[in-house]
Amino acid sequence: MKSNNKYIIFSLILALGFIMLIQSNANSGEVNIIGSSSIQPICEDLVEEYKKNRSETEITVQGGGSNMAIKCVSADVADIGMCSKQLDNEYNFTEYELGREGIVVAVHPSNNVSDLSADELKGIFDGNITNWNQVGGENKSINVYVREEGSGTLDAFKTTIMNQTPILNDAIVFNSQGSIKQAIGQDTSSIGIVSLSYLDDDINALSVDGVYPTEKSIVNGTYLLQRPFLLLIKNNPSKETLDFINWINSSEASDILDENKIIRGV
Amino acid sequence: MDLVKKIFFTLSGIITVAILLVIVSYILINGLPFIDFEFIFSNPVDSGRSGGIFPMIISSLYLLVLTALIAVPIGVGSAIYMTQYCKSNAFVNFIRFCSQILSAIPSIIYGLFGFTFLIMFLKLDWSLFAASVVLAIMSVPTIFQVSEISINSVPGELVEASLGLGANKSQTITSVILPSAISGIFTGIILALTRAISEAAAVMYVVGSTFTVPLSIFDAGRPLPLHLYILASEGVSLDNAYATASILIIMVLIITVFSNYCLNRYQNKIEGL
Amino acid sequence: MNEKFIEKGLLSITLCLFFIIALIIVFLAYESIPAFHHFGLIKILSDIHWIPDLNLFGIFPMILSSLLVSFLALIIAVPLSLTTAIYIEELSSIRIKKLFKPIIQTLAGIPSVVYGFFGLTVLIPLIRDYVGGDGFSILAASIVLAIMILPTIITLSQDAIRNVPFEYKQASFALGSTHFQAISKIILPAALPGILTGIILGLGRAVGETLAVLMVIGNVNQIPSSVLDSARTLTSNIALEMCYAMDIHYHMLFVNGVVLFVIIVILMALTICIQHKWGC
Repeated sequence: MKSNNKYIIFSLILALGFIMLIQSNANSGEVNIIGSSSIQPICEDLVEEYKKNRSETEITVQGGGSNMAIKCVSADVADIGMCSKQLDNEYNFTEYELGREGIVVAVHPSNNVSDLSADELKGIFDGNITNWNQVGGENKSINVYVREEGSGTLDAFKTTIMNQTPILNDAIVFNSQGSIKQAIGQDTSSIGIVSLSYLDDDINALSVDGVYPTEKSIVNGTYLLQRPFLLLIKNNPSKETLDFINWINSSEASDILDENKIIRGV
Repeated sequence: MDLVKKIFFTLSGIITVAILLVIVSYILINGLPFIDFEFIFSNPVDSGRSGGIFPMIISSLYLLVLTALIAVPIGVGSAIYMTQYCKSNAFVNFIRFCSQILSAIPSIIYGLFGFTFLIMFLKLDWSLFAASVVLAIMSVPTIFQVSEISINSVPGELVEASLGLGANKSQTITSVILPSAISGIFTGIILALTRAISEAAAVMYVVGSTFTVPLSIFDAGRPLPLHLYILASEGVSLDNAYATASILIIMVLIITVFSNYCLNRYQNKIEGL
Repeated sequence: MNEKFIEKGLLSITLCLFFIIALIIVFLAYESIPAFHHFGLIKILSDIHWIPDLNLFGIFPMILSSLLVSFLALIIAVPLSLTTAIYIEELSSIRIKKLFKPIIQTLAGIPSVVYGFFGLTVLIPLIRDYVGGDGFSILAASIVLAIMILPTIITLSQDAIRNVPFEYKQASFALGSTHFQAISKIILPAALPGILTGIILGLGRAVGETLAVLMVIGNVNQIPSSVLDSARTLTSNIALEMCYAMDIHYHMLFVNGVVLFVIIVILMALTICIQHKWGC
């Protein structure tokens, strides 16, 4: 048994050595971008364009969520974080606003309701209004679809519409824009929130207080439902990181942002 | 009366297979029309809305090989130790308990563990290597359990005969026990690896999700199941999601059929001798 | 000397299994301790509200839904897979047996995401139109899980039935029983421990499945009152909120993981008890 112990210690040391070996291999010169899956496709488009002329820079774009962005940039694991919600606390990194995105209240195309006031919206989402005929629609009960707690979309909706009132308990929860859009498109008595870039023929956007979500109404601030897309840049960024950030201000980059329905200059 | 029972059982067998085949064929019917040479061998364009899935296939293949390289020695090695060397019953039971727990741990917990341990603690980059470590941890218990059973079912007479002929223990293991247990061990490995390459939840926090073709094992990648999950849940492109799902099913099918074929040939060879 | 070296090498490999478990426990514990410290175990387990905004983190409804969904999946899957296993092992010809093996093996390897995808695009609209509710329900999740665990239970039951000594069957025939009497009176009882192991492993897989469930269950955090209600399981909560969780919320998700881990350990201990009791 005694010799057994010796071997256990030996293998522990081996394992530790292995860990050290990996660790020393960890850092390289490339630019690491990580964070929100809503910004990821946009960043991928940006990086693709950026690399056309500068193939020597290595940039990788990873998903994972806004909190990954904050955790990883704070812990110095990533160079740039993508965050799709307003940050409340102070952190040790710089925020750069990529642009803003509109958030759309959407219903099934067959629904004859096309406009809701902010109060009506609040009533629907806190459970006081449960039937479409209370807001001028058919006699059908309302199915409410939302995004998960903490998501940028839901956060923005809560601050602009809900004023601290909790969302009703039996709202169905989705964790991605795609699935919530699909669910709204399948269900004739649905209402839900998705981002503007996912708006297509499968779902109908509602006007809020008479304002329809368009690029114009979002830029001039009359349409209130919007959220920021932030890039979080760690302190002491590398030269490659700074180059990339500077390039985002160029016209090539803003074409791509326009294509993705990201609104700048607010 | 027996006929009724027989029909009942046959019917349930047919229903089970029918359910499973309906799912597979539904996916294939919706996906196969979009698969062509270009889809398999080109890079995705516009976040996977169009273009192919070449980098994902490469990532998945990398993971398959790396996971096997890490998991097979550990799984088979410990099975050999447990059946041939270990004399303490308590230790055997303890390790068995460990492996049973490991095999039952939900994949999302492996994902959380991989993220906190490999990424946050060891500061590894998001990489295929990190993902294959997580997948290997997931696969080891299956390989171990199946190997243990099949080594245990090698007839004692064979081992005694080998020892009686003057072979020492390690020779007996490599030339008698392993060849006769190989079919079981192989099944276990295939079982574990097919589960590993179809896993998304365990790797989603460690592998990254970049679209570029991975060159080394320390590059990030996006394996097929993760790509499928992102395509389906982000609603990027349903057609491409069906096509990706079809490719995954076909890959699993190829691995299963190919390994069964190899196994049969090997068995025939042994039995022929 | 050489032999000794091989033995010790293999021993250290074997110990890996233990180290891995230890590492997982250490890191889960490390990340969840702040939450336990902040709220206390009793409050976390008994509170029925999960509202991160208001700092309410109760996981009781999720534990309940996780177990409910998994048991319902078992109720659907077990009869089907048992009869199928009996059919394949006892009633079918060798050719059909050879046909079934790769089919079942392939299906066991199909990614759970594919099943979830199928549930989302086919099952949910069906339930909404023909059963009622909005489709996202415990029922949908259980059906998807049941289909997913079919191959596991079938394969293990098949093994158990195949391993019943042939002499038992012969003896039963010699005493004049029919084939079906032999199946119900001799083979099934003898194979029961193996079948139970398969069922518990299936249960474990069902409790732990994440993405497939996440896609179809609707994720409403409530104590469900019918199978058509939506619910949220422990696993789906982790995958759902991991992307945005910060600070104490993040640590609470690891508490979810710890609870899942404990449930799995209890299930496994149960399996081992069964195996010991039946002398397997």
